Amino acid sequence: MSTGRTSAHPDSLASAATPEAPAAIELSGLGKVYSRGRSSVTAVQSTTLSVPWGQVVGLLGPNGAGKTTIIKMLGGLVTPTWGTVRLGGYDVARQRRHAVRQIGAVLEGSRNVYWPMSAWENLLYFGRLKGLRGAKVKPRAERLLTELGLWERRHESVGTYSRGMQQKVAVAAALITDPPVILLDEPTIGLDVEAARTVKDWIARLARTDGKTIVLTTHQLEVAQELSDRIAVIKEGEVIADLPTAELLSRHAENRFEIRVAGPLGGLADVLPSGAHAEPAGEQTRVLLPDGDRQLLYAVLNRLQSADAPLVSVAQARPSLEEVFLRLVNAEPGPSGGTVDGAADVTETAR
Amino acid sequence: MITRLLIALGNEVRKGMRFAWSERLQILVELPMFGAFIVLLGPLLGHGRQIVSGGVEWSLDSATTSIMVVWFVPFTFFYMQVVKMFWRLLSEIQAGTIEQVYLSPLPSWLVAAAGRVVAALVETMFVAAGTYAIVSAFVPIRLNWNAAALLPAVMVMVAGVGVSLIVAGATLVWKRIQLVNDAVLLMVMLFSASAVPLIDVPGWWATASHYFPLTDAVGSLYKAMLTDQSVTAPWGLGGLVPLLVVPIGYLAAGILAFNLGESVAKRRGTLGRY
Repeated sequence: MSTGRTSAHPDSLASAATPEAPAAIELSGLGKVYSRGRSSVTAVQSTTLSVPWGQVVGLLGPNGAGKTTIIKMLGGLVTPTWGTVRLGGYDVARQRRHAVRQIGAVLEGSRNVYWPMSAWENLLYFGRLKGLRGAKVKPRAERLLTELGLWERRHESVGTYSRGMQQKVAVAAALITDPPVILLDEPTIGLDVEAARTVKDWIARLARTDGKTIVLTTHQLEVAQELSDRIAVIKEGEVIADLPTAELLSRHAENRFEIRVAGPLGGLADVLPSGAHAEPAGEQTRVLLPDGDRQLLYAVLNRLQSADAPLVSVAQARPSLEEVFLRLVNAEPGPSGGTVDGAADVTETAR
Repeated sequence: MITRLLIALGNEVRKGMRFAWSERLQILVELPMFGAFIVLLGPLLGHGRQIVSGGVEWSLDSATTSIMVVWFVPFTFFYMQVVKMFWRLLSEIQAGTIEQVYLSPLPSWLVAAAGRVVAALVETMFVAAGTYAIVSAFVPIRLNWNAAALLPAVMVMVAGVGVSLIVAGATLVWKRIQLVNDAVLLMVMLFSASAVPLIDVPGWWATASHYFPLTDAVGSLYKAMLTDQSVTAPWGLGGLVPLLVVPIGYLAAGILAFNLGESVAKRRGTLGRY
C-alpha cells in the first residue's frame, strides 16, 4: 500500500527513512484496556497496522472508538495493555528516546502549545525540546510562521490569537523539527471554514510535497477522503476496515448510475421517469438511478437532452466516504462474520 | 547525543526562567511578607515562657535574627521549588502541554525538575537578597560567609528537587493535592527548625527531624555560617553523612515516585487529563 513517495526530509532528525528501513509505523497486536476499580473498558482491541513511509492514513471511527487512544499509544503517552508500537523501527516502550524523535503531534482536546508564550518562543521551545540548536530552529520557524501567515504577529502571546491561529501554531510546533511522522488528532476541530481550509491545505502539502507519513483522525470525512491514501475504520476498539481509500470506495460502489447536470433542474425534476431521484450537489444537480437500469438511464438522458439541460457527467454512482463510513459503523455483524444486510464484510482489509 | 540532551535540558531551564519572569510581580508582592515574617517572628521564637507569662520583650536580637535567616533562606528555596513546581505541573496538565513535553527525548523527571530548579534558585537569591535588605534595616545580620556553606546549599537544592519530584509524581496521579503539598511544606519547615537553636523540641522530635529533607543541611549551614564548629564531622546534626545521604535519598525517592506516578498516569490514560 505504499505510495512510493520519498520518505523523511533530509534535515529530519530521523535517520531511518530509507527504502530498506522498517515501516514508519508498526502496530503489532496493540490493545488497551482502561481499568478503574472493578470496571474495565476495552478501548482498543488487538490492532495490527503497518504504515509505510510517506503514507497518509485516515483513522476514522465514531466517538469513543479508540482513535485518540491509538494516537496516544503511538506517542508513548498511553501505555498499551498488550502489543507493541514501533516508530521507524524503534519500540516506543523500550527505545522511547529514539522513537519520539520520529514524530510531531497535534493532539485533540489540548492546547498543544504554551499560550502565555509567543508563537516564536513556542517554536524555538519545541525545536530545542528535541535537541535542535537554536541556529537550526530559527530559519525553519521563520519559514513556518511566514507560510502560515503568522510572521507579523510572531511576538504576540498565543493566548491572544484566534482559535484558528492557535491551531496553526500547534501545527507549526509539531513540524518544527521536521519529523518524518506526524500524528494529527482532529486538527481541524473547532476551526472556522477558512482556518480549517488553511490547515487542510497544509496537511495536503505535507503529504504530497514533503512526503510525510501522517496519521490523521477527523470527524470531517471529506477531509479524510481528500487527504488519505488509506482509511482505517475503527469501531469499539477494533479495526473493521483497512483499505486504500480508492479501494474502499470502489468496494462500496453500487450498481446504479449518477448523472450530473450543471445548475438546478427546475420543473424537469418533477417529470423524471419513475425511480430516478434528483438532488442538489453544490452548483450542480445529481440525478441518481437505482438498479443499474440502462433503459432508465437512456430515458432520463433523453429527457435531459430534450430539455437542453447542460450535462456534466454520467458515471456509476460511488458513495462518499461518509456514506461508506456510516454503512460500516452501523452494520450489524451477522452470525457468519458477514453483515446482516450483506453490504460489507465486518472486517475489510487489503488482500 | 550528549549535545542534544544538553540543548533540551537548557531549553527547560530557559522555559522555567521564562515563566519565573512572568511571575515576577507575584514575587515582588511576596517579598515584603518574607521580610515581615522574619522581623515579626524573630522576637517571639524561643521565648515561649515569656509569652506564657505575658512578658515578651519585643525587641529584635541580632543573633536570633541571623539564625532565622540561615533557617529561612533554605526553606525559601524549598518553597519555590516544591510549591511552584506543583502548580506549574498542574497548569501543564490542565493545558495539555504536558503531553507535548513528554515527546521530549529527555527523561520526563529531568524535564520537570530542570524546568524549575534554576528558576527556583534565582528566585530564592532574589528573595534572600530582598529579605536580607529589609531585615538589615531593622537589625544587623551577622553571617560568616565561607565556602563551607556551599555543600549544604547544594544539598538543600538536591533535597528540594527530590521532594518536588515526589509531589509531582503524586500530582500526575491525583492532580489537585495542594493540601498534601502544603502539609509537607509545613512539616519540613517545623522539623528543620530543630536544626538551629530557635525552639526547644522534645527528643523524639529532634530524632525524627533527621529524616526530613532540610534538617541536616540547615544544621550544616548553621555551623558554617554562625559558629566556629567544623562542618566535616561525619555524624551528628549537620554531619557530613546525613547531610549527603538524606538529600540524595530524597532525590532517588523523587525520581522513583515521579516515574511511578507517570507510569500509573500513562496506564490510566490520564497524563494530560485534569
